[in-house]
Amino acid sequence: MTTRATDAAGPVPPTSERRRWLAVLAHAPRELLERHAAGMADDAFSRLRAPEVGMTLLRARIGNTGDRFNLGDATVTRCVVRHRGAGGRLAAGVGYVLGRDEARAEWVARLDALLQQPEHHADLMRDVIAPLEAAVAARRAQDAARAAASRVDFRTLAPEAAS
Amino acid sequence: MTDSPADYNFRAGFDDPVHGAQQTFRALLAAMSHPGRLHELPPAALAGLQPEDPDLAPPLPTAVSAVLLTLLDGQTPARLCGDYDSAAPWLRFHTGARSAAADEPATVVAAPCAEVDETLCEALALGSDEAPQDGATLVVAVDGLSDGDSGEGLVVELRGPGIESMQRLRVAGLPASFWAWRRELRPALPRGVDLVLAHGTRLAAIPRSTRVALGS
Repeated sequence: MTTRATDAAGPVPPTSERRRWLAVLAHAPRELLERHAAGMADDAFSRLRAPEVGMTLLRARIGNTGDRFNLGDATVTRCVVRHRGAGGRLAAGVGYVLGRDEARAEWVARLDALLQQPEHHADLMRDVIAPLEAAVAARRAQDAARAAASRVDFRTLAPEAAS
Repeated sequence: MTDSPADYNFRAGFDDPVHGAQQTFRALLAAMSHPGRLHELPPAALAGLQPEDPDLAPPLPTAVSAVLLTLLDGQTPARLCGDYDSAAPWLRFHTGARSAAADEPATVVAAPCAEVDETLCEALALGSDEAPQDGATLVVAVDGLSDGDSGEGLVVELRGPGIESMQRLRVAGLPASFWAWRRELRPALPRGVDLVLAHGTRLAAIPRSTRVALGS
């Protein structure tokens, strides 16, 4: 998919930064996302691609080193919206989320479009992305802690198996 | 904001891509089965292509947009002639279609009628006797399209499969030399070029099997 901010009306955030906030939005808990997205005015947005559900192929490597294999398919919902900002500057926002939650994909797309607008960028990074990033990190840490409790260390088994 | 080609990234397509394309395909199928007969695109095909906000509207004429959104996908090399070239990003966004390379035969060629000249016609792929499906589909936005006896443009008389005796079609914007080229192409059947004429929200088709003569 190619969606690109146009012209030189303002500094366009670099791709790596956009990748970061899109990753945060894609993983953000639904209720937090809804809270942040609910306040947005509808009239500045128009849909370029209405939310649609599709499948994507998941590929993986065992231990991140083995050959690539097809893990399976996952449902993905995507959406693209256009935002008309101050001075008529246009930005296209994309939303890709796992699952079939169409509203969530549209919220992500809207926030992505707004984040590309210079007049909203700083505010949204501070008020939306930072707390969501913290929430995502906290949930990951919690999951990691729960998994760590059942960790098995195979090092002691290796010599026995070898002998 | 002025209309720069880059803005075409921000134009809408079908409201509902599945139904829009299906309805347009039906209209195309009907048009191809009845050469020269006028077909109005159904509302489901037009939904989204005529938005209230003018700068969301597709960058190409309505019927041309509908036909291209329907026929193109990632495996269809397309060629957009003249001004239409600037709509390539928009088509790529909605269909995944890529522009044909300079030396590659394009499956679908779209052009405004002013761009249809000898060079364009000679460059069209005709397919081969073994693979006639490689022949190009030429989509032309004409200045007028009617079945009436009066009005602008040249009258063509069509005969052949799908036509009981003779079908008249009035087309504005295409020169007599184009129709002469098309007439000489007919004996090459099954090789040839399928023609889709579009004007506003209506279209007519002249498949390669149709014999064309200029009427009065």
